[in-house]
Amino acid sequence: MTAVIGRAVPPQRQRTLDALALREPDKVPVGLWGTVEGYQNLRQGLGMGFNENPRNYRTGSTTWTTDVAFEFDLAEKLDVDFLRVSIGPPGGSPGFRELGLDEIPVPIQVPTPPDDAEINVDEWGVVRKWTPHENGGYYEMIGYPLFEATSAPIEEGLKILEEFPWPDPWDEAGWQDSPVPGMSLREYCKYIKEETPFALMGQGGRGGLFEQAKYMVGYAKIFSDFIESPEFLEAMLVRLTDLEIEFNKAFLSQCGEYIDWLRMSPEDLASEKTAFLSLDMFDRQLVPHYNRAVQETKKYYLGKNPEGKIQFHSCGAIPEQFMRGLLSCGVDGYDSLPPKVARHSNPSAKKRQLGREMFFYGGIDVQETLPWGTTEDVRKEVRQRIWEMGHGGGFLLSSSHRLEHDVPVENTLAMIDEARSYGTYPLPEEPPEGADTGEGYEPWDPNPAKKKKRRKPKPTA
Amino acid sequence: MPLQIETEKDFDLEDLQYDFEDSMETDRWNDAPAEIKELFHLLEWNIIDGEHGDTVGFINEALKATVTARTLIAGPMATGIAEVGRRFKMDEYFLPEVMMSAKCMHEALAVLKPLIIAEKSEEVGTVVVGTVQGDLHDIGKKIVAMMLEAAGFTVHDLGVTVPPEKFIEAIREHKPQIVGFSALLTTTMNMQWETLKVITAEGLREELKVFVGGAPISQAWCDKIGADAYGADALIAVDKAKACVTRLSNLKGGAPELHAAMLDIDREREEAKAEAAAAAGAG
Repeated sequence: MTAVIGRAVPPQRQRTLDALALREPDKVPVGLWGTVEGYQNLRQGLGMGFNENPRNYRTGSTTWTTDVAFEFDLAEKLDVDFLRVSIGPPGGSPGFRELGLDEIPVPIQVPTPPDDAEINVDEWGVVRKWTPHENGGYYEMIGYPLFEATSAPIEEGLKILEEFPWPDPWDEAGWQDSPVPGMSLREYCKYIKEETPFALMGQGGRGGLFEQAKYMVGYAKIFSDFIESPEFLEAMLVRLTDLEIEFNKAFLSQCGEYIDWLRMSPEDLASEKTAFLSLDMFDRQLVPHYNRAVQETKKYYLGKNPEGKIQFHSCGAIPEQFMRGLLSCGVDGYDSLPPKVARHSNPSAKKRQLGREMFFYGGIDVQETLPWGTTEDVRKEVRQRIWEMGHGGGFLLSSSHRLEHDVPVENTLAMIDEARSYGTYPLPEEPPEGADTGEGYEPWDPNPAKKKKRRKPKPTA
Repeated sequence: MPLQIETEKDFDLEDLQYDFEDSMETDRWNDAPAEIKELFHLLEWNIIDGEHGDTVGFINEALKATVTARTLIAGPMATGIAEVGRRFKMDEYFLPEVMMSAKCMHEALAVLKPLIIAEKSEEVGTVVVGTVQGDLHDIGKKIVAMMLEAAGFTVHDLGVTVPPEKFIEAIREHKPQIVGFSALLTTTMNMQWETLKVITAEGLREELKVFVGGAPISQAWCDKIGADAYGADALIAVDKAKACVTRLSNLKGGAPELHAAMLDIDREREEAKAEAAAAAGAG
């Protein structure tokens, strides 16, 4: 372990802090993000020991995902700059309770699973089915705890929300363990800050606002709820915002002074083509909640770490107008920068639109390049992304989503190696082959021709 | 005697860009009595506006006036949902609006489905359809299935995420002339190819006309995987299906003549469209 002498800030952490503060660092900082299977695959490929049972890893981010914290030995060996850690589910990973087929408390939205299906329920009451694939598996949502409440009469719906057994953000079990056995989360974060050279991003939320709302009522209903059940949706979002704030405060109460930046619970707001919602709905029905969640969290966090920053996640192509709404809430940075989305919101567009106002995290394609490309494809994309994103600082390079089991180890190594060589400042002025220079770019249009509308007759009874 | 109204006439989505009153001024459904024409435009706009609480009311009014279920589906419901699709594509509509319109369609189809089955005049053929394995999308395939039923086919809809072996089983059981694969994702469209390969390996290819459809699907994809027909929309899929079981019924699945005949149907439609546009321009 690299010893940290005196109070000097180690270069790994310094370059990360520079990037977060929109200053040009010495090199573009690099970090990794992956599923348990992706992590096992990486360790195996590097000839490092690993635990073969994925269930033995402490997972986090949200209770249902299989995010794993990358261990120090691997971080050192690969020469990365920052790590990520999250609060755990109470009672330890994986954070859910197994259910028998006859114990499922909500109507299921898929054909009846077979008798031997592995069913579980998480701390929010969301029911999932383990769905294996050739290299692991994932948890498919099959039952939503508020599926029926959302279409009940509003008084009844509000009463269900009131009486719902919400998770307890201040449950101490969430921070009694950490990625290092025997260490509490506070001890772990303190250790990273004081004894390692790495910067650290933390996540306290275990749900989210719009994201968790999707899981509470189901994808089939959440979108029409914006039009049909706005009152119920509003009340649910108020409750989920309260919880997100408390989750963050609880986490920060333990680790706030040791983490360099905080990631809010992830919120997917867009498809690869554009936002899920119109700008008008987003501004009216979501932004006020995001504003409260970010403002309250930030106020508490800055009390612990005056330099702390807030990062917001969404996949997909979020147009600039939506990003500006998030900026107005106090968001400082955004991940995870998927590069293959519509051009109006690809990484290069985001940098040109918002690069003076926020930092960006992610950017190297996990949909094709990392799993299926050659090492040269990976290197080429790293050069493109660094040229597009790195000028002026504000870019932290990572995969554009979790590294999964299908990413060859040599591609991960090529990503880091190319970032180290090409990503040394000052960056070249000339664009590398294939970089998006913005030529011919067309912004997303938030105001398609407003249709004049007249009153229409109702059907006769 | 049910009302006879021409529905499969090509229409231009330009007609639906503004509002109900503007679309009333177009010449669509001019061969219908005035109150039916109005009702059709109202139903169309009910779907565009996603006001699903009123949909069944309009449907019942139309049925009372002896409009057939088939006419409603192929007429105002098809045009309404096509406009919703256009708005979604152009970022005028987002998922909430589309889901509301989908509710209109589901509610209307629930009323119309039993009638479609009863309306069927003669047995024209049997079709097996399904969304391929790994893909959960339903609405587009359901519309095609109902339009085929409306056209007199017996349709066995295998549902969503249908594995190849389930297609094989259904083909052996129902002996259809046509099998249709739907896929809505670029990540699942490959399963159309895989399913077709299994059908060929099982020795069933020549007995079947294979149709493919779905958002990422194109004629080029259809050609590449060796399917017989691509349905760009439900109406043309029905036209092609009808041709397959009537004048082309002696052609074998996979035959080049069949493939060419399917492309001719597309060409005829394009020509009719161009003629209509030219006529409109001249007028």
